Amino acid sequence: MDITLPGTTGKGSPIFSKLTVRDTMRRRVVSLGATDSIAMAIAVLIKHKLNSLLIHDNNDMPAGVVTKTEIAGAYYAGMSPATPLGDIMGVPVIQCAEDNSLEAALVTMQHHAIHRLYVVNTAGLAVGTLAYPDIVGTLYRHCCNCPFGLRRRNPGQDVEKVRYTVQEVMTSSVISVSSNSSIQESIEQLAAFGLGAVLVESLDGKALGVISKTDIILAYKRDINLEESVATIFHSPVAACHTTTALEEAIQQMIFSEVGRLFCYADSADHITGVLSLSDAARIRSGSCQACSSSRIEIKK
Amino acid sequence: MGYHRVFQQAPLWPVRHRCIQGGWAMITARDIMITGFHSLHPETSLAAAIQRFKEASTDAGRRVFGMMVIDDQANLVGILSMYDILLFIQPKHVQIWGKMSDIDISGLLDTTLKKCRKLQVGDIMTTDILTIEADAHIFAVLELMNRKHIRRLPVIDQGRVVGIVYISDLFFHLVEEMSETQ
Repeated sequence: MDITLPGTTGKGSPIFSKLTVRDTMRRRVVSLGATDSIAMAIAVLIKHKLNSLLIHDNNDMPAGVVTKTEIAGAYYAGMSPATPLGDIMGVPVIQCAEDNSLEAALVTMQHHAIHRLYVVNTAGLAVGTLAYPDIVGTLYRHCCNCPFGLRRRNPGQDVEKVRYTVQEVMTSSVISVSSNSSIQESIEQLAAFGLGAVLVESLDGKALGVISKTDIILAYKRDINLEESVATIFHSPVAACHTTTALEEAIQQMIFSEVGRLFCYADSADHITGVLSLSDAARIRSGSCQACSSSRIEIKK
Repeated sequence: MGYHRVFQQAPLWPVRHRCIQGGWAMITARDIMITGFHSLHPETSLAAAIQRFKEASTDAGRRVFGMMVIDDQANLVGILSMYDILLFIQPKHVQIWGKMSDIDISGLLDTTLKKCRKLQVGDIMTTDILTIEADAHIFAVLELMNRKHIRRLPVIDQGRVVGIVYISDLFFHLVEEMSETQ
């Protein structure tokens, strides 16, 4: 996925030219050592609700990154959960500095096709993270306060008329696995399409549940055999919404259920017709007023 | 899954030198540990574990902030603390909410509780745990707790968990001893 910022290549962005990484980053870094086990990393990822962990060396300097994707890969490869993280971590750690512009950080993310940068100080120590949702939150705040935004420009207008609905934003293709597929097959599907979760359907095409990377790494920690059916680990019910749902209600539902996507249906919740991701929804909402084109992040899939 | 490191370091000072009025040399972890304690199984759901914290607090007559996790073979495999639970129930996107003032967050607790039913204690417990031998001197217990900033310490005897030392018990034990010696 590419993330581009129109203001970086055109006239420049009045918003982003004033913002640095320091304004948006989270000042918390969760890290483990290279000799710590994959099992320990899974517990930390679940407990802190993270998608990746920084791996530090003996001097507390950033040495690598371990994501849920790498852990799922270790599970797929039959590695023991006791395997040290140093054996599976990705290198190098893609990083930025606190005083870098937000524009430059986004360009770095785009260049490396990642959603998170580690922020390091002048000594090279990690002092925070800059993740895509944090940037979306900052954009949202700016748009709400913008005097040219829809909410301020049309205070008396019927809000329903200017609201986006899910069907305008969702993706129509839905990747799924059948309920008798193995965990191994579900990992293959997740990897092939670069997804965080796939739908689990019955043999007659009814939506039964969802299997996510979180479910996969928990199965790994619980020592469940890869040949087992996904029916043993998928979660239900499916986080879903009707295609006519207002976009902001869908965002709220995703935030509540702490999922990165909602499955969408037109007639019956048993038959899913699309997927709405949090990043897509937040992107549209962040720049929906079009009063300030530089406030939009364009996501290319 | 998980491991524990038994504290085998000798007390920093010869025990006799720490003896005040002749009594302290005899005080060990065994003397100040709690032997009646609730524990959790690694496959217990987080929701059930939270309920267990409430029951343990009622039984103990004080608030319990951490419980040992013991498997079917009676091995200590981890500790589930209040901090472990609070980290998990903290909403993931709370920073963004601060910027989305028009989002209604009522009903969130129900959603969190549903997640707690699906997660197991073994999924989030802390496995990098410290323990101490039952015969360790009280000052060795104190030194370890201070150095590692821990408030509870499982006590091991011949490889089995026999109790737990709370830093508050240790403190008040010392207070009692010091009061008597004055």
